[in-house]
Amino acid sequence: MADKPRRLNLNQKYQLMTRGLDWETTYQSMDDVFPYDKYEGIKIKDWDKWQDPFRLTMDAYWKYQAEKERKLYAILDSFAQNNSQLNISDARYMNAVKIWMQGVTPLEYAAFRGYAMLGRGFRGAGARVACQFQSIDEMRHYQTQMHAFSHYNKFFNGFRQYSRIRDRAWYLSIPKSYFEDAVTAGPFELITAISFSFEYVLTNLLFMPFVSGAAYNGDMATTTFGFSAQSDESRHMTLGLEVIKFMLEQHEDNLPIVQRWLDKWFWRGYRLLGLVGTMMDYMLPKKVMSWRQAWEIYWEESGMALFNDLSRYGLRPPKYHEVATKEKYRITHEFWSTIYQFSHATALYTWIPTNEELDWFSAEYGELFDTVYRPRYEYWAELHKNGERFFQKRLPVVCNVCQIPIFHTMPDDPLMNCCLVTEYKGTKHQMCSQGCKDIFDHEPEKYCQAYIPPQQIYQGNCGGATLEAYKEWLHIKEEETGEYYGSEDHRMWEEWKAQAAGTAVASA
Amino acid sequence: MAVKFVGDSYDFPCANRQENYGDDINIYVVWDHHLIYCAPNAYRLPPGMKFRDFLEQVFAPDYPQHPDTAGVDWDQGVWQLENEPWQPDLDKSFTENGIAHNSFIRVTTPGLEGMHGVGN
Amino acid sequence: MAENVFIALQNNPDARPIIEAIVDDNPAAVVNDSPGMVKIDCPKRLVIRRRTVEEKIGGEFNLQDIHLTLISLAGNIEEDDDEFVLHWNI
Repeated sequence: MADKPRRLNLNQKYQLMTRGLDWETTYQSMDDVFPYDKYEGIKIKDWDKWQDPFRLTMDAYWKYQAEKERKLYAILDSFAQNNSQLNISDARYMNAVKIWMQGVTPLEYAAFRGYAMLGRGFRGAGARVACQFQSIDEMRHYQTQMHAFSHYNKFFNGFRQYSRIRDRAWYLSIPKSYFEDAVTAGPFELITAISFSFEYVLTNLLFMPFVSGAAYNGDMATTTFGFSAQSDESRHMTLGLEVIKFMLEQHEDNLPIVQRWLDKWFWRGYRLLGLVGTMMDYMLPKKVMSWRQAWEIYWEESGMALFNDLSRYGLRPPKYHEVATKEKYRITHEFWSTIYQFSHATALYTWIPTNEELDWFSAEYGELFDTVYRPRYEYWAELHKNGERFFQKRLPVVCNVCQIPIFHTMPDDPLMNCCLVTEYKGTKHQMCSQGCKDIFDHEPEKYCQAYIPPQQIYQGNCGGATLEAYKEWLHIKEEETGEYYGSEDHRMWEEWKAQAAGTAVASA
Repeated sequence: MAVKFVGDSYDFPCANRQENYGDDINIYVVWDHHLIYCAPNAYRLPPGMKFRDFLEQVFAPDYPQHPDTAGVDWDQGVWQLENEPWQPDLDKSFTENGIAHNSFIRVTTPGLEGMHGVGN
Repeated sequence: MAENVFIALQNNPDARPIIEAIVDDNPAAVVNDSPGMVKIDCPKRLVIRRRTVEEKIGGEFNLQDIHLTLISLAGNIEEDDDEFVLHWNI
C-alpha cells in the first residue's frame, strides 16, 4: 500500500491546525488576554515546545468521537430494549453503579467546566486545543453516563436525585471537594492535578479493573460507556504526562512547584480512590481483581516505572506513597466498615459479604483480614440476625482536607485511629493523615474554608442538628438506604429471579 | 502566606470557628480499640458541661452495641488531649479541664480493649 | 521489577488485528486477558506498526484508529504515520 502523495502527514496537519490557527495579539497585550497562566510561578519560555504526541486535530477528533458515540448508543439502546438489567450478576452490584452516578459522574461535569477554563486560559495554542478536546470529552462522559443510568433509574433506588445529594451528602463531599480544590487552583495546578495525578497515575485503578468488573458482572451499559470514556481518558493521560515534561523542560524553577503538586495530588487522589477500591472489592459480586492487587499492578509496578522515567527531571515519587502501599491491606475494609455503619444516611445499600466472598477476601488480604475484619463482619452479621442491624448514630470527625470520616488508622498500627491536629487562626483542624496535614499546613488559608458536613450539621445549616433532620434535608427516603437484605431492590431482584425460574420450569 | 492568588488579598474566616456555635463548642472523642465504631465522634456541647456527665450520659451511650460498654469505668481511663498525655478531672467541666473548641480527646480503658483481641 | 510499558485495548473485532500485530512485532509482549479487555505488557518499549496491522486486516489502516479501541496505556508516546511507540527512557 503506497502512501498517497500530497496528503499532509500527521505532524504537518497538527502544526497547521494548532499553531497555524493561532496568533500573537496586538491590540491588547498577551498578558492581559491570558491573565492567569503566570501567577502560580510556572515559567514557560517557549509554548511552541508543547507537543501532543497523538497529534490530534479537530477534524480527526470529530470523526473518532462520532464513531465512538454511534457504537455506544447502539449498545445502550439494545441494552434497554432487551431488559438487560436482568442479566447483572446480583442486585447488590447496582450499588457500585449508584456510587458511580452519585460520585463520579458529577466529576465529569466538573472536569468539563475545568477544562473549558483551561481551553481559554493557556496562552499556548497546543495546550488550549488539547484542553478544549478534553472539555468536550468530559461533557460527553457526563451525558453518556446519565443516559446509561436513566435505564437503571426505572428499576432501582438511589438514582433519582443525584444532583441534590451531590451537593449535600457527606460521602459525596469527598469527590466533590477533590474537584473543587483542583478547579479553584491556578491552571497549571489544575491540569497537573487532573490530567497527570488523577488520570495518568490513578484512573487506571478505576477504569481498568472496575469496568472490566462491570463486564464480568453482566453490566454491558456501564462496560460500554466506561471503555468508551476510557478511550478518551488515555488521550487525557497522555496530555498529563506531556504537561509534566513540558513544565520541567521549560525552566528549572518549575521543579519544586511541580513536585509539591504531585505530592499533594497523589495523596488527595489516593484518598479519593479508597472509595473506588471499596466499590471494587465489596460491590462487585463477581470479582475480577482486589484493590490490593490493582494497587500492586497499577501503582507499585506502573506508577514506579513512570517515576523512574521522570527521575531524569529530578522528580521523586510522591511523598507518602509508602504509606499508601502499607494501607493496601486495610483501606477498603476500613472504608466498607464506615459505609456499612453510616449507610442509613446514604442513597446506597450495604451488607455483610457472603461466606464465599469472605473467603475471597481472606485469600486476597491474608492475616490482617482474618484477624481484624472478618471477626468484625461476623459480629455484625450476628447482630443483624438478632434484629439489631449495626448502625452508627453519632456524627464522625471528618478530615478537613480529604473530607473522609477519620476512620483511617495509623501507618504502622492498623488498630488505632489516626487523627492529627493543626491550628490556624486560633481554630483547631483535624486531619486523617500526615499527607492531608501537609496539604492543610501549606495552604491553611484555603482549607480553613472547607465545608465539612458534620460541622455544618452542628452549625444548623443542614436542616437540623440530628442525623434524622439531616436525612430529611437530603431528601433521602428510608426505602433507599441502609441494609440491602430486605430492601426494595433486594425484594424486586428476588421476584425477578423467581419469575425467571418459573418461566424456565414452565417451558421445560 | 503560601497560597498563590489573583487579586489583592486572600483572607477568609475558618468555617469551623467557635463563634459559629453560639455559646457551645465542638469536641471530638474516640474510645480507642473499639473500632467497630469506625471514627472519633463529634459533639456540640456547652463548655460548662461536667466531663463525667458527658462520658456517662452522652459518650458511653454512643457505643450501645459494644460488649465493653456495660462495664466501662471512666475513672480507669488513660487519656490524651490533642494526642498528648493528659489527666482530666472527671468531676470538672470541659473548660476547667482545658478542653476547648475542636479539642480532640482519646481514651483507652485497660482491661476493656475491644473484641477479638484486636480492638474491634 | 521489569519496567513495563503497557497498552490496554477493548476485546472486540476492531482491536484483534492490532493485538495480533503487537504480538508479532514485540516478542517480549505478554498478553493478559480480562473481561472485556486485553492488557499487553512489554518491557521498556512496545511498537505498533501500521504495515503489520494492514497485513492482518488486508486493507488500509490509519494508526489514529486505535483511539476507537484504546482503553489505557503507560509510557511515553512517539507517534507518526507509520509507528506508534510506547517507551520508558530508562
